[in-house]
Amino acid sequence: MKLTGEQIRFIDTYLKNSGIVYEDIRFEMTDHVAKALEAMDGEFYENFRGYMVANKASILEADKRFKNIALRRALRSLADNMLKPMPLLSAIAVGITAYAFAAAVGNDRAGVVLDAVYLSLLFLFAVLYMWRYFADKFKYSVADRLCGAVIGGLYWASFIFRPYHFGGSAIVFALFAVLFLYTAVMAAVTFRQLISIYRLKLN
Amino acid sequence: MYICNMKNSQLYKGSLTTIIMKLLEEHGRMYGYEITQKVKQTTQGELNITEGALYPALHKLEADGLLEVEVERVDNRLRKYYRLTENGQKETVNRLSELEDFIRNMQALMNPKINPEPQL
Repeated sequence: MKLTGEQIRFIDTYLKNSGIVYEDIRFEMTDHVAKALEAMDGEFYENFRGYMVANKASILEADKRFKNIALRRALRSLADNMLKPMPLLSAIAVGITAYAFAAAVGNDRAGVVLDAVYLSLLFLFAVLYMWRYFADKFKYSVADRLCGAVIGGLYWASFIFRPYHFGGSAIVFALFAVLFLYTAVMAAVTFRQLISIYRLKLN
Repeated sequence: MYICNMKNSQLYKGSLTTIIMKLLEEHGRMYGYEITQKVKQTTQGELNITEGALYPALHKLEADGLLEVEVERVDNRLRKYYRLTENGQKETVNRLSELEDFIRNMQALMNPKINPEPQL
């Protein structure tokens, strides 16, 4: 017997409250559970309870493994975008600009400016992400994992790689500038692309 | 990965992706629940693939470019259908060939009387 819209929403809400927060994972689990329940006779809530007792652990296991696969896909999408010709040319332009700037003002001052630009971008990125997280009801696995990995990774990298590590070389400074800024910007571009793809497919 | 609640789940573990690809080769387009039911029906209930095994395998195959997906609205909800890509079709042939070799070798090992040792 086909389930009603309310029953489907019940399943979806239950899975969301059970920790399956990503839309792209949850809708597939909802469909699976719904299809299984449609094949059963009897009362919906009784069947649902029995199904969850038997299968909830497996569903949550699937969700956990999804997240690992999503992280790998996120990093692969980012790498694919970073290796495209036009963005790479932009990165080279940034590198040349950073080198000229460091050579003109010295690494220490250039490092301070890089910190300010980089941390501002990271802060902006984090604010936009948090705004999406709270304001937008849809969360998507690959996009979310990309954000987490890039924000976390670059944040810690910014503590480890400080300007005094550059040892007076404008070339090294330029390489670090390209690495941080290019990664942050391409992560934002990849994030937007992923969200657009998900919205197109699922909404 | 909990593929089967029967006695011999470890034997099937490494074959799950091959099973999925074989089914998609035969049926064209399938969704997750449909795959589990087809396997259960074909094996007469001997092999029962759980959600925890099936969906990560499907997503991994999709991430590797061997499957493509279509999402459609069916019966008040969204449903994700999987289909083999061109690379997926080629890879399916390779994996089925490997599995056939495996089965043949296992049969040779398990039934030495049918395949006697060569005289040296």
